[in-house]
Amino acid sequence: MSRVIITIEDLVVNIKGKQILKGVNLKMQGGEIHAIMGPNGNGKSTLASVIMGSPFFEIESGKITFDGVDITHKPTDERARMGVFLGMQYPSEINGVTNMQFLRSAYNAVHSDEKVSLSTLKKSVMQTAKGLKMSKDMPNRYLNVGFSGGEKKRNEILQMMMLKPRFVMLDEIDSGLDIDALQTVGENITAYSKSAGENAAFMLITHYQRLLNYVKPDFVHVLYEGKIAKSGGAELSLKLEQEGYEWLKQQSI
Amino acid sequence: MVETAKHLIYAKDYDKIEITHNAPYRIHFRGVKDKVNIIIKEGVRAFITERFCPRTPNVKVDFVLEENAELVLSAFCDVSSVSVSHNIQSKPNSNFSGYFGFYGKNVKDDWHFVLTKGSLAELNTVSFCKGTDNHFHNITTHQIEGSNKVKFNGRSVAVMQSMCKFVTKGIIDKGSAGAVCSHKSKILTLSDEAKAEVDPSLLIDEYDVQAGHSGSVGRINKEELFYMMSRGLSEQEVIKLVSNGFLVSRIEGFLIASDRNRFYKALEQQEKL
Repeated sequence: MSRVIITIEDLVVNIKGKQILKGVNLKMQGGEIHAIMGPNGNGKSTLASVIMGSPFFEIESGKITFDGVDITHKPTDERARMGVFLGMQYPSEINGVTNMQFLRSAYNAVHSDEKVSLSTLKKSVMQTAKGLKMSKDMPNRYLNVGFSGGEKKRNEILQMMMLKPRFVMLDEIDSGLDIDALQTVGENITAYSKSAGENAAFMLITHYQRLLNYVKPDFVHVLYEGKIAKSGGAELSLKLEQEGYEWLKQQSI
Repeated sequence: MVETAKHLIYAKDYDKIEITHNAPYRIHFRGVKDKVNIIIKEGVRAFITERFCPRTPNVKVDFVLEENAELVLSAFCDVSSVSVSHNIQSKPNSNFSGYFGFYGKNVKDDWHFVLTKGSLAELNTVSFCKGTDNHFHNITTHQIEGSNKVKFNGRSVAVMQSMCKFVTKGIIDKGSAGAVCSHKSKILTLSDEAKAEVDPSLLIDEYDVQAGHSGSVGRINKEELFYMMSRGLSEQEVIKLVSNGFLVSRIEGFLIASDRNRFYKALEQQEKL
């Protein structure tokens, strides 16, 4: 039986006094892929950010447990070193810090017990980048600076594949991707998920079925008004694609 | 990019130096004499790197760029308690590019440009202020006639209890229609105790000009901090990477290789921010 990777219990989160998450409960086991869908402004990105330890939100109550350890109030970097990863919707641009420099620092931080030479790491980065169809000059470019929307998203996946996290959250990783790029990204997520097997769990935040055509979810949840209003299998995302959220709103009323 | 200096000049030996050939030069300020007048002759293209010495705490260099002359001036100054002053007189259609890095304790850095018709001047400075360092950068550009262009980019990182200040003044005289003036100063402060000040001003006496100045002082963007920490880097590691990057993005491609490496080395050794 797979072990539980992450548990979220009655999570209530505020930003500037406004309640965004109003009691979220979720449990994810190793090997599972969960899709989080829902209308804009209902807390999807907030949920991912809070799990990552974003300082922009205030946790009013609730608990987040990763690998059996309470991480509710742990700092962001510690969570990342434990194996939590968030592929961001809008990755920051960092001038003067090259992609390779950043990846190396991040790799050394997350895998401090491993001794990997720079040349080995670079080779591995280049190989992974090739699989993501990224340009060859990528390691020497400043982190996300001048990257197109699609390049930024591929770069997030590259970081994920290099850091090998055990709990992966991808926030709208499909936005800004053309059809071919979406396929490449989708296939790489699936490949990583297969290689990680039951050691990793995935949370995909998306608005569209198109990503889920490449990365098959085991569960789909709809986050509505700060709560998980509906959960189901992959068929739920198809229903949402066809019918939108109106029926769900009616049910909530 | 100049990698080696073929002509070594000790400023103490001269009052006035005339550069008459296209070549790289290195000027050492290591004697008691601290003032030198350098003329780049008409049509000559010169690359000059300056080297400073603790024995010469006050350096004053007057450059004259004759018509169609070009000067690329570069230096990394890690000398403490130093006052460096440059006066650049640009004759018509001359071209000046300056690239300076400062790392020493207590630096006073003065620049004064006079630009005439068709001349171009671009100055980039980067500095790292640590401990109780005090860096003061004073830049004045004076566009006196015709269409000409001046651009200043200054960047500084201030840590611990250090202090950094940029005072930029752009003056455009009547008769300088078509002149372009841009002054940008940015200071990244990395501690509550670090002090930073930017004081930009423009005095414009002509209608048909493009002039702008900007100054920014601030801490590391919290979104950037969160992004980098979400990859496992501690706050200290992020600060070090970002602050070095803030300067490195300006250092790369302009300081000569040896100066660039000296600056990198200095930044790498900067363990406690």
